[in-house]
Amino acid sequence: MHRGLALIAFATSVLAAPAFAASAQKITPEEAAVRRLTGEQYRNVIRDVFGPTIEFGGHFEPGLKVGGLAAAGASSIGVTPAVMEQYDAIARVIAEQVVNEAYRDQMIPCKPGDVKAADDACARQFLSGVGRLLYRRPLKPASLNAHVAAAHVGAEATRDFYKGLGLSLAAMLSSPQFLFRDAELETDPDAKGGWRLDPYAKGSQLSFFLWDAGPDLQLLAAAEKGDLSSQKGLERQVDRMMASPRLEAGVRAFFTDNLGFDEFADLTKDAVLFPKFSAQAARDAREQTLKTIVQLLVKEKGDYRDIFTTRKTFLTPELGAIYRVPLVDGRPTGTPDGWAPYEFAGNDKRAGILTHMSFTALHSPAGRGSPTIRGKALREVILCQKVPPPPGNVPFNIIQDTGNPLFKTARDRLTAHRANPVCAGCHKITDPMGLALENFDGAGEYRTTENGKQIDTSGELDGIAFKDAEGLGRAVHDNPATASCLVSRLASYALGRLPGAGEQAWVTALQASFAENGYRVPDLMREIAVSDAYYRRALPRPSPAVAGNAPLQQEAK
Amino acid sequence: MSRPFDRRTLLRGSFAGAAVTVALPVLDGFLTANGTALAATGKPLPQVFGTWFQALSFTPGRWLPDQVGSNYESKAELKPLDRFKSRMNLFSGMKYFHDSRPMEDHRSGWVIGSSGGLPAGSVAPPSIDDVIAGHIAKGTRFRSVEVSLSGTRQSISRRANSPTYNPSEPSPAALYSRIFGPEFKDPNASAFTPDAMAMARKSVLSVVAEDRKAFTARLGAADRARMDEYFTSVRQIENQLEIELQKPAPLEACSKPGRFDETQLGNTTELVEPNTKLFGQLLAHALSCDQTRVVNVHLGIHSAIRKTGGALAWHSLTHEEPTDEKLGYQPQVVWFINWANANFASFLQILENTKEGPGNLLDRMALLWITDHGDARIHSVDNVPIITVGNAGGRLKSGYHLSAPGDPSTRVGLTLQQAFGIPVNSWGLLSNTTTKTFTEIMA
Amino acid sequence: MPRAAVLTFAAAALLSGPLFSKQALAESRSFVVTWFGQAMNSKDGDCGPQGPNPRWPEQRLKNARDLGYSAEEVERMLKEDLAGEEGYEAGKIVQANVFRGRLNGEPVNGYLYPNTVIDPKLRALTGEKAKFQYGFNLDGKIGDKDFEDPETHEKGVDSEFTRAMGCMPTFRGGLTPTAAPLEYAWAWAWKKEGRSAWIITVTAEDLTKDGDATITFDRAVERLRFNADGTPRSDSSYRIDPSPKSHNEYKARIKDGLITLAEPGAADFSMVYNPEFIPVIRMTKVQMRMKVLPDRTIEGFLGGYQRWDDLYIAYASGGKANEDGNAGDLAGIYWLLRKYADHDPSPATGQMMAISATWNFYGIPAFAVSAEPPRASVHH
Repeated sequence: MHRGLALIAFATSVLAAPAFAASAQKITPEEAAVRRLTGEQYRNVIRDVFGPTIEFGGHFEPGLKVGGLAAAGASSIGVTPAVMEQYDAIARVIAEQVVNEAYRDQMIPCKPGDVKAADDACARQFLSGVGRLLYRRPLKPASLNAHVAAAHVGAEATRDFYKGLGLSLAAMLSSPQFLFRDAELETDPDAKGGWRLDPYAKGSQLSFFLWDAGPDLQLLAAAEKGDLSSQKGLERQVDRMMASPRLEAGVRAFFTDNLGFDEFADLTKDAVLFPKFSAQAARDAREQTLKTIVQLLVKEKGDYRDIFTTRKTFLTPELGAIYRVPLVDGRPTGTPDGWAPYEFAGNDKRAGILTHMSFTALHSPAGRGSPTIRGKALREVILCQKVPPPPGNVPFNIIQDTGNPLFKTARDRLTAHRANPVCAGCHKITDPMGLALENFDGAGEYRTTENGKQIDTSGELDGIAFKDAEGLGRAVHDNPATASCLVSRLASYALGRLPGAGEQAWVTALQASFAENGYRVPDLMREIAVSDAYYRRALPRPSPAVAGNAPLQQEAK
Repeated sequence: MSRPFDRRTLLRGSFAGAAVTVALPVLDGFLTANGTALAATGKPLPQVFGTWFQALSFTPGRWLPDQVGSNYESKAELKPLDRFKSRMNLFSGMKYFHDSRPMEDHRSGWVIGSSGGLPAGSVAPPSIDDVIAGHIAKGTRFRSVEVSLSGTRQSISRRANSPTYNPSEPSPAALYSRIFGPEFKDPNASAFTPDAMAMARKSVLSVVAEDRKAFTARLGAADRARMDEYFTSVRQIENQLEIELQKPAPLEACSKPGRFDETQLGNTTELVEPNTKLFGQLLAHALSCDQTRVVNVHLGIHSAIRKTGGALAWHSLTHEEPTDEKLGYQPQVVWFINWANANFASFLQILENTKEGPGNLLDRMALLWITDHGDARIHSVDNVPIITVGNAGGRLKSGYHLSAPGDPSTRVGLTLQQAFGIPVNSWGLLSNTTTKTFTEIMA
Repeated sequence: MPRAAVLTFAAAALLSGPLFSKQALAESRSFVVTWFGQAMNSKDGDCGPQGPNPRWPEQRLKNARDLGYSAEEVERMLKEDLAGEEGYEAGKIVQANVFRGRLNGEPVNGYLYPNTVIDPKLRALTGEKAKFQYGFNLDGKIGDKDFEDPETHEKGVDSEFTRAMGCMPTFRGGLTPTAAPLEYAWAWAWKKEGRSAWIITVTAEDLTKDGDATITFDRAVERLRFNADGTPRSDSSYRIDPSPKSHNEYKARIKDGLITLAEPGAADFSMVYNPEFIPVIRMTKVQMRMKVLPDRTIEGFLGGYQRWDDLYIAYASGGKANEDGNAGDLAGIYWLLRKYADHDPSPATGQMMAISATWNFYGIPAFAVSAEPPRASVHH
């Protein structure tokens, strides 16, 4: 099974010669779908509109993952009653701050005639301004009228203009127009009978992809003027956005999602076995890898594949103790840890993000390391190859018994476990890579022995043998699936769903040009952002009204 | 999904092939532990909150259960509370961080325990009961009620930036006059005024309803189903508002207690016991008559509690009594711990005996038990025990031992604040800051 | 984090060996001290047939009798105190003890004027079983009353501080942090996060072989770091405080895994400790022994002549609270320390000002980093 998958991945990346630029691929677009904002996107929009000090006063539920990405679930996820309660509470907390006496003069461009009464003109001025940023397009007259009317009844009921305005704003923040990114369409002049996102939906898609935030005023203006409808105008905006420091937030958001870093929120370790693991260490481990990636890919415009081999990273004193390297951040004692750049020595086993605690500890159970879980994560997250789940009736007692005197190392235990032919097939896919990381225990700390026995870290990935973690990093670096996987993950992330069968040619072309351009992630993002295919959609088929709670879409295969 | 089952996964259901948090709609949340609705119609009875401060902790090795989760076995010093195990959560492993600030013996511990951090300069954080009172106690006669069981006026309850703590009432008779004296009005007889803000919210939602529908104008089948789910969820918010605007159900359990005569006050165990029971009854009546929704009970300052005729108070014994080599603990100290826990159990028993509909007061209450140290003998602030009792109106599950080594104690306070519907995602100062709740017990 | 801030962080320059030894010493390992306390070896019978000194409540009654109250008066006062509103602790017996100094016939605070308190003549380690105590032969003589070290069996061990405190109930105990005397366990648990860490660095050609070495004791800029469960965190990095006030450097020898000073008794020791407990540890004629254990940790002993007034002030600064809680009869301790002081006579009075003392310590692996001014990133 795995072999077939690997072969397909190989074939798609090699056989699809770069005959055409990705932007000019013939594709059959998917039906347009609305996308729910992620928690981070929600926060970013609000901070952009109302300032960075705004308090949210609540938490967002985790998203629905499709193909391992929360972003790709955005086109399927809805709003359950519990989530709505959160949205409602958060919206009111935000609105109260905006109209609060302390801030209202900065937030609201006009003053009411009478603070104790409705003032439609002032309400209109404020709501049309923020409405355009929150809805990512100008409010339609009926919509604006409704919100002005809402502010009016709110002011009357509370005898307070600002309370009324706050209630209208809160209603806006829990409306579908804000919570969902719309997919308004227009006819596509380049494709006969075809459709594409309208300029505002296009701008929105662009800015959430590149910045993980809503469109700024310049982008909205470009949409309004029709600039985004021409390739030249689109490229001008894309280049402006790529040059902005905000691109870093976009790259971070992608890798946070791609590497499953939301799972850090629930990561726990047995404190007796792994005393150095702490909430701060977990937080820092996540940030370490993101900082490493941003430095290499965005700041140094490096080769994506080098994140699996680089020895350069950033550490805090908290992590320094886990990595056993001398490191202080030079801050006064008693202040929170800061970051310092660090480069592992040439003879150090730490090379590449697979040797970071963010990989080895995240993909381990609470009480031990696991070559199988790590190998599976590598296959699925880094190489986009599906590893089947274990059959239901398999005994795992040998693997879990880390104190068994007969099987001192994980390799010994897995060898015994593989004696069961039902298990052997899948473990062949995962274990030879996972075992290369056995120098790192379940919390990411370096070790050379397990239960007193020397650890053998030799392994193999798709026919390439290696002797340790560094060799594994090189094998991953050189594996063709590594780069093609990144491209399909990024395409899914950008689209908010898995690419459809009719869009595969576009993805294939992106993979080819990614290789051609030296595996530069920002270049790949640009190529996606300026592609026609990225904005083309099929017109949704009108459906009969559905009663009750219809099931959500199945996860795409 | 790339991780095996963990505790968190067990709390999730499988939805469209992927894990997604399954949260109950709010109305289902207002169920008692037995699954019966608290109020047959109308507005559920309000959530109520309490704190119980008991200095000097437990003995290391004699309270921390070997197991975590719901099937833990109580160690010796918690046995007196076994009667309430299914209504309790026991938290272990957490600590009070003092961030290099000078430590005041005993005091620093309970200040962090109650307020989430030590005051810095002019910034004095409010205690957790005050934070919760600000959210749930609007319109009640008393924002909170503080009592001390050992004849003093100490308390751990403090308003934001207030230089002093809200003084405790040491006398049950005095508290009786304060609550049930001439100013007491039968809550079931008073007129109901709906909240203006809730009315305004309801109007605003109806005005924007059409505009929201406009979003669904041109959608495919799948998106339409998602919008239907959205509108169902909005309807639920509207239902909640509707309930808020209704006259509340009568407080059936409310009755005015008979007169309380003056009792002898003092810090000996013989005097504390009867006064605990009197205060328990008074507070139960005050809560069931909705005179207050927040109560704070202070057992006594660390050096206070002693036995009549005993040369050394509990506190002195923690330092001076040698550890019995055979027993492995300080027998007299353990006597006090057992006594204090039994006394706490007698207080809980009164709350549980206060029947409300098919359930009792503990259904809608969350009581937070805190202490000053992890090990009083050496004043350590590692591994401090924390206990909650009650289900906060169905928002808090109970019966668990939860271990979070090295985390700040504020995780419990943040969890409670969220259980009381306060929209916060972070609590505490400096190293005591947390954004993590105990999701395992949040209903 | 702003980019500029990242660039100003200190690069971690490993401190390469002690300052005076410029020759290439290949191996240098640092440890952060995770326990420092008086080395005790309490055994039944070591205080003589009467056992250790009474616990503090009982001692207070005796002190009251010493002040001139009759046995009947003391009994009556106690009865009244126990029945009183505020209890025993605010009663007459305790008050009499707090103000048990007599200056010109007037009662004065006994903690501030311990020399005006009648010596309660508390017992010290003079019993049969008190022979084995940790330490070193500091004066080079083997006296009749000197101790013998239970590990090394060196005779003539001078450790009069141990003798003086050894029968105070809260100072009795053993070596490990869990068996340690209450006074030190309390000071550690309560104050461990508030003080700067201590760093020990051993440098030698090969730490596993016999040969020359050097040892440094330094104070760090950073506080000791801890794991989530409250245990000290190994492999953390600490900057060395450049102040000479807490820098000690010794030539040493390794023999059979034991590290000792090359010139025992030749140097002094000075470390700023904890302003909330013993502010500074100061000793002369220092000796030391230390082992690196297979689990990468260290254990060791440090001996020398310690200023005893520093110790009294440390215990007494907490006043009644510390007396109640941990130390016991403070004025009694004053008289014990004064009596057993065995070094450095005052030219004016002849009173010995220093007392032979033994401390034990433990440490875990750490990185010592020089506290140089911050440098640019190691990336560029």
